[in-house]
Amino acid sequence: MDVYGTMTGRSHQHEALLERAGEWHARLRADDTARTDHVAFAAWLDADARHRLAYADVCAAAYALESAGAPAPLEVRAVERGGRAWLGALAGAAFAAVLGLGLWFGAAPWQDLASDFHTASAEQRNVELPDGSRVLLDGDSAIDVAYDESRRTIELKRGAAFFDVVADSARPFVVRTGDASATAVGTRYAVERTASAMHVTVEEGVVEVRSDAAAGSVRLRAGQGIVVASHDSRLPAASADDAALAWTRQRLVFSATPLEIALARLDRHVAGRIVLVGGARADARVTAAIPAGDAIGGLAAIAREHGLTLRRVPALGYLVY
Amino acid sequence: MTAPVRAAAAPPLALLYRDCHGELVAYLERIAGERASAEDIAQEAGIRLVEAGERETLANPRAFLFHVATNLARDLLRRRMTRDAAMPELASMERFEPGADAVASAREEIGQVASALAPLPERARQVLVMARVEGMSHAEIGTKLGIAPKTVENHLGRALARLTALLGREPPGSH
Repeated sequence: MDVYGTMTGRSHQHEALLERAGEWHARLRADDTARTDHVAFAAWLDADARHRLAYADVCAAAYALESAGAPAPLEVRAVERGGRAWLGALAGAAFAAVLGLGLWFGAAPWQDLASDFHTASAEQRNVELPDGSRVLLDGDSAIDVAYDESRRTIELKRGAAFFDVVADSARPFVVRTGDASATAVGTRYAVERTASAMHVTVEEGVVEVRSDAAAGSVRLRAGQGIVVASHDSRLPAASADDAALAWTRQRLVFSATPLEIALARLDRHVAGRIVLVGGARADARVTAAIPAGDAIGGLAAIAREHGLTLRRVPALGYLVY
Repeated sequence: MTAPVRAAAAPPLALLYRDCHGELVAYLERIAGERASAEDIAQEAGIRLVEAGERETLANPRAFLFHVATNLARDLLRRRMTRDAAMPELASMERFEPGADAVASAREEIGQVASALAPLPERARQVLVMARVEGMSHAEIGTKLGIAPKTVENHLGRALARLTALLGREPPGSH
């Protein structure tokens, strides 16, 4: 190791990449950065995916330093240069490790890069699967399809989908949302994935619902629905929920629906994202019927009714608080 | 109609996001190598900035925004590398949660900065703090420390690389 403690041996290649990335970081922020530096930097980034990652790693470290070194709010800053005193100040200025996020809806759009089928906000799409079964994808939704000899598996990665399944008793049709599944032999049913639950509604036939966290299963028949929370150790009983299928007819119908769920459904029909800031009124109940084409009008009406402020933020979406 | 008092902090951060948006997207485009992901990541980071600002007073909201965005981009780059290396059919097996990871990893890194700086040489710590925390130019740092700007740049490059290595990321391929 040299004075910087640079490692040699096994991690040497990674260290060398970080050194190069560090050099670029410093070069691009020098007082005499030249056009040729930018060109050479772009070429270096393009040369190898590991270069991009190393540079991003260095940038993250630099931003971490900026945050850690910033004076803590309402605290007198006492940084003495050259001594160790500022180390203590840095530690004091570090964020309190308070975690816990509020609610935002929809998911990372770059899920699309790895999804078999996906839709944009306010777009619905019909997909025919290899066995002739059909899927109607709601707005801002994504699925992966994996068929083999014994199973037809659909992973609903986000949003909602309605399935019209071709019967095949040798290959059950299974829709998974991470930790829960809804299995059919031949039927028409909808599955929705929200932040912490799977919603299943059956229009025709029989669907068997299971969760990794709970023992047993629940059988749903036509007209029945269920909401399975991710970590519930017991499956709830089936209930009736006609409104849950309204989106397949271009309508959003809420009947004493929790605000959080209603906003998640509206989000799929709005360009940009809907953020319920700080989880404000997340447990309020919404009753409304909204044409899918006027989701923003519906959002405004719901906010008004619940005494919430709706603010549009360019390039982001809508804040509700 | 009155908004809850605790929501009062939201709009300024949303404005900060709006003001930084162009710069943030350009920065992310450089890292991600393409525009579409850069815009998606910027939006996601903006939402997390507003959310985080609801819960606490951020010491440096701008650095936090860029940091969270950088970590979202790092996730994307890692996934891309995994996907490119694997068989094509494994691409659909990829599982990633659009959860709190980018925010959690940013907080974790911020928390580790002080101890990661400790083993660095004195000069390295000085130039790091002067450049990144106090926002001094290389010439200003050089004047203060009595060294050439190019020497400042060299120290900075190596110090940043070392700080990065110490912030607890496993090098790819080490496991």
